[in-house]
Amino acid sequence: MKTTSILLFICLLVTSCNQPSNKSDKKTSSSDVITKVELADILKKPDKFNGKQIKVQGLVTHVCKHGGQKLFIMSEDPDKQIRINTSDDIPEFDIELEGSTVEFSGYFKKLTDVETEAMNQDTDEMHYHTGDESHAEAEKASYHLEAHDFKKI
Amino acid sequence: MTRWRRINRWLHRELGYIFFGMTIIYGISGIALNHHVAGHWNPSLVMKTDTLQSDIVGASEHVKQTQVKQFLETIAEQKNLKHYYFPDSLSLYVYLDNGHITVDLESGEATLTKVRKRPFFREINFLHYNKPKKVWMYFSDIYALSMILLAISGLFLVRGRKGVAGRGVWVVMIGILIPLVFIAWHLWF
Repeated sequence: MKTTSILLFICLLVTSCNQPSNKSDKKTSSSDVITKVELADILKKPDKFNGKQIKVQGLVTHVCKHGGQKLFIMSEDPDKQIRINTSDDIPEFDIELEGSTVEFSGYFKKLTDVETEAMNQDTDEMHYHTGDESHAEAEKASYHLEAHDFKKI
Repeated sequence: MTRWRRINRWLHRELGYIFFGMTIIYGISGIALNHHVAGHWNPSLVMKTDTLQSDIVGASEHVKQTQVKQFLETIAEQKNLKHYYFPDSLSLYVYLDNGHITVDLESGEATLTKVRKRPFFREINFLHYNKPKKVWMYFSDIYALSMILLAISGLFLVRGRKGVAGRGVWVVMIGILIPLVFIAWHLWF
């Protein structure tokens, strides 16, 4: 019993010691500026926002039902959608976000050609993605927002 | 019994006790996820689909909000309306609190999909997929390492004819060959 308790204590100690500090590892700080941008502007020139912290708002058209690790938002034009991925700060997106207008904050990321190809290969292997959906183009896009926070509008 | 055997037995027993719960969680969710990848079901969500006939027909620019609301009243979903939009000129997509409806504006055919979370499986898959990340990732790494220790220590629990130096080695070889054959078949040749 004594040795089991010691073993358990060591497990908990290791996991708690490796917990990221709330201050030092947090990506945002009071000096970081988060720019609010329009979805249409992002889609016109995605390279301009690469690596930047931005806020973008839109109607959530689809939450991936296989893990909730990504969703898609649009502003007014359903052909213009963008992919939002989770981050360490967001475990998953709730299916209940579908149909809601939500503002997301996070880092905009542009993938390399190799990364985009690998991502699309994974998506194509998933039989449940038919490619007919309105967000199909956004699903294969080489950029996305990695959200660390969001709020319903 | 030699000292190392005593330690080995102790390690196997204590790790088995500590991670009993985790093994049950990962075992059940592993089966659930296996069948999810194979397309048999969605372990996290229950989705029920019904086909209905609506009177919402015509190009999207002519569809009025009152038509959408009237159709929802006929199927008792008017209180669940969240939003709707037109993915293209011949489709209508209506978001409900508990699902969605897609309408083919050419025929008026509507597909109502009700969605709810699947209890128990949603929770265990949440852990198995490492969705909490952060601290949970390190704890589940420790669990994975413990499984390796459990496997290795298990080899040396039994001595003699039925131990790993006896017939045990052949059973171990079979257990290693089976996954190797699948890897070789699908990835190497």
